[in-house]
Amino acid sequence: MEVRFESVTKKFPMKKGEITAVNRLDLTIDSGKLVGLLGPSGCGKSTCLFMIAGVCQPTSGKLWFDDRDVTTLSPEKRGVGMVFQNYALYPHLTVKQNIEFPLVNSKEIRKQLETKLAIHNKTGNGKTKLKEFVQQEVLRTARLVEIEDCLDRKPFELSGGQQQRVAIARTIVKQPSILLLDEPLSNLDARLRVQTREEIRRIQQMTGITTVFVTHDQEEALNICDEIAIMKKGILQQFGNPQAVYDYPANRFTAGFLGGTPINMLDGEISDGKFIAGGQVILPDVPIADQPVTAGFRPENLYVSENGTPRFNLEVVEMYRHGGITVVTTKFDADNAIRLVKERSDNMTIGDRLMVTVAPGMLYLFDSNGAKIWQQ
Amino acid sequence: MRKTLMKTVNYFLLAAVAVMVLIPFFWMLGTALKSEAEALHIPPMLLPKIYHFDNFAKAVRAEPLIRYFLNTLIVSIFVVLISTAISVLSAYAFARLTFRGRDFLFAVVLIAVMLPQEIMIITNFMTIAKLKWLNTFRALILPYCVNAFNIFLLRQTMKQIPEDLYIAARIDGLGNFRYLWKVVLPVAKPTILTTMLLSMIWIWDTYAWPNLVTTQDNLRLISNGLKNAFTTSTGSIQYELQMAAATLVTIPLILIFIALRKYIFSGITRGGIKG
Amino acid sequence: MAAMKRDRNPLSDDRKAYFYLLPAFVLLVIFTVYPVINTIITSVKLDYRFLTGVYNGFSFGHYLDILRDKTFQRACLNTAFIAFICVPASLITALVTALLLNSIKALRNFLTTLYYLPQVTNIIAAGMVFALLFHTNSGFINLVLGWFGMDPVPWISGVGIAGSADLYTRSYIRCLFILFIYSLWQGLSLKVILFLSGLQNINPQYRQAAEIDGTSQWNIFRKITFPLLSPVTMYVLITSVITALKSYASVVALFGDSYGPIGDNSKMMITIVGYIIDSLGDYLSPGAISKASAAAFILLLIIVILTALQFYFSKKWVHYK
Ligand SMILES: Nc1ncnc2c1ncn2[C@@H]1O[C@H](COP(=O)(O)OP(=O)(O)OP(=O)(O)O)[C@@H](O)[C@H]1O
Ligand SMILES: [Mg+2]
Repeated sequence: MEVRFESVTKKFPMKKGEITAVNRLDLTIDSGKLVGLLGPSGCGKSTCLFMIAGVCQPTSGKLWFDDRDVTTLSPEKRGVGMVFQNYALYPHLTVKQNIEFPLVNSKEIRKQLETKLAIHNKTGNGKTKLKEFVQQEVLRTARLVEIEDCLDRKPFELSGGQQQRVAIARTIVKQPSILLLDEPLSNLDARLRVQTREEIRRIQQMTGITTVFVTHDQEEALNICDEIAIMKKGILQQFGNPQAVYDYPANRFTAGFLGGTPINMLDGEISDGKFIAGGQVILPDVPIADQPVTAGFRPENLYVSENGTPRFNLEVVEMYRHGGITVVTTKFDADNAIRLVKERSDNMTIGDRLMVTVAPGMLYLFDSNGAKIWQQ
Repeated sequence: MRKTLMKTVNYFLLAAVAVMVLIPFFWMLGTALKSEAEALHIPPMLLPKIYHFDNFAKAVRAEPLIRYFLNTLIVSIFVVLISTAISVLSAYAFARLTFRGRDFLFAVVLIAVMLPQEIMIITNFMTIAKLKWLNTFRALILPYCVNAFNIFLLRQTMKQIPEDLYIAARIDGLGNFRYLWKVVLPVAKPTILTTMLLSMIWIWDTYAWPNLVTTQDNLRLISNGLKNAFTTSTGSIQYELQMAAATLVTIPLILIFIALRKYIFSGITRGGIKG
Repeated sequence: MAAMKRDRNPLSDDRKAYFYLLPAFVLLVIFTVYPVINTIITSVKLDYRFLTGVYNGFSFGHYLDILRDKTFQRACLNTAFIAFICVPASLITALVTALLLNSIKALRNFLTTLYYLPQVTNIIAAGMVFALLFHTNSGFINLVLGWFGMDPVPWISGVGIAGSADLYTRSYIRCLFILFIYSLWQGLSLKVILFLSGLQNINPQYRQAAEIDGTSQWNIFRKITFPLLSPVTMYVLITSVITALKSYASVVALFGDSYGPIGDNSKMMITIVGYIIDSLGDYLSPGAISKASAAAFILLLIIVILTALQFYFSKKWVHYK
């Protein structure tokens, strides 16, 4: 199912005035895609999910599922499933009862289930009863998320990762046409997080459910999403393929938001078609008007080279081995440090002077409003 | 060495408290089993020579205790059922729903918690009298059917149920009522049982109000009945029978309490103090 | 931050909420809100007749009458005794008991259950048992005193008190003592449970950290346990003071309908609520209900003022998370 936001705005009334959680959002999530929604805390990610789920309604604008206007449709009629950060498992029910909860308790889903059962019985000319059918569905789903061994336990007897898988099972057992995940991994430890995100990817691909995945961990999004949308203060900043967003940021914010080692930012100005920073001409030939600008380039896109433009003359001041990579901090001038990421650092010592250049096409210039005005 | 000493002192003190708590029960039961002569013996006897279990039967025969007991049971069943239902509904609204005037209405409940029931007695008595409900069960039941403290206690507990659970249930297609029934009630079970027991104790202990609105013996509740029983016209009291009756009155609530102990403790401690 | 968000429910259901509240509020209005307002109005009606509803204008006379009434002063004194002597005593006992309970493992549940028994004991039955415990001839207390060679004490005795102020005072003190013991016994149960759960909610890490720093047990209690327990203490204090101010049934059960030993006709142990009920007792005579209402309103004022004071002072020493 395709999900389309059409100029959606959501405002919450506050004691004084109101707060705009989502501001004129236009976004199309293609059917069957796993889309990541990223942004700093409070930028409106959860609000977007709640609007898709129907838990809250847009103040203005329209929301479409395929060709259906669902802007004001109530949650239970939408066929949406949602997984929460802290799992939201019913504490008084066993895992099995949790998973079957939506099947047993929602009229809407029950109806669907009965139709499906009728078809099932006709084609397989079996005589499965509804109750058995529910059990089969529960078991099937439990197997899918690999928790079939814990069916009779209560949530508090499970590990965090298991709880999260139960939550996912409870959500997909009703075969939603859209799956919403609100920071599903943030309560897990680092290892489990990687494992579970692969799991989510696997389940999403197996079921082909259109999925929206909220996170503020960019690595997570970059790793498993087909597309990512980056938001800031309720406004969509950029939407697209993760690698494309990474390599071609639309503005200073997205450039800075993505990246394991923060991007290097170097303030300077354009004067006579030259980019000048720290009193040096960094780029001799930039086709933009004179103005103050900031150059951005990712640490991993820097490499040591005697020639090439731009060329930085840097002094190594610090080296820090970080897992498989080395982060080298260098001094550009009194005010500016530049970081490089290198696989190895054997031939460098502190105090060395380096000539460094940026990989072709990987230097961005932002104007004083943060918009990207030029990419090399 | 010091540790063992401290531990011993510790247990000793706790045992002393336990003895203090138990002495009245011991004396009640002990007297209840004495013969009339033993009960009046000077100096008093610690324990009876022969245990007169027939005192219980005698007490029941001498006064319409069974009637009082049944009356109390009827009133408390109605009160517990109605007031629990009412409290659960309003506590749920306060804990989970957003609506205009919520803070104001909840403030009314909080104030009602502080107000002594005894202040209301005057007007309520006039209301009941004007309705010509004196000497009816209605008069005994209705004023007890709303209990602000129970609403408060339940609301505190329900507030602790994560909101995500509610949103999840709504997305799964449950309405408010179904969510209340399927999720809130089971999760809040300890507190609900606690409020039930508290209502029960309330009725069991209530004295002033029934004394005012009932004048007939066949409508008396257990506290009033017990208070007036076993005192002869000369003012002397048949202690062994009175204590037998007191024992009989005390036992049911103790049994209920012991049966539900686990829930009650977590219920008492969950609602009140946090938040 | 998270806590703030929790309160904001994105699903709002205004109108349905009122249905959920309707039954409770209908009853609250009839049996609580209206009575309070009506009590205030009735208290200033002069010569109010219950049956006909007629009255002769308004006056604060009842308040003056009551305040001058020796019986009412006695009632205030007795109520104050329960609220300010008995409650603090049982609070401290309960706190100590809870601390002791918290430091043991074995028998803890058993003892907690046992300590709770007075709470589920019928108030009248309990009062009767206490009256018997302190009975001059048949009481357990005098039996025990006898073991130590003491003569029986006439605990609840009004013999000769009408003629002798000294005997009256002695008898009064003895009755207060009985009330004190009874309140201690009765009040311990709920308080122990609340304190115990408060103690168990305190993260043991605070304590462990202090122990590692070598802090003495007394300082751990003073600097860590007690401050962290202060919200519970506050809650217990406020609720038990309010309960104490409403005392009535227990006094009737202990001392009888005349609130005192036989031979006393000053209503020695009357409480404020007792005074209200007594005034209400002859509701057919003009002005009686107004007098009861005035007394009720005075009680209400006392409760409100005391609660407000407790909240005010609590800001200074209660440590809220
Ligand atoms: N029910 C509500 N009432 C009022 N304001 C709200 C409500 N829900 C969210 N907001 C506000 O709207 C803004 C967006 O909130 P939202 O929960 O969508 O952020 P988020 O991106 O999910 O943040 P996080 O990463 O912290 O979960 C925030 O400023 C938040 O305070
Ligand atoms: Mg969020």
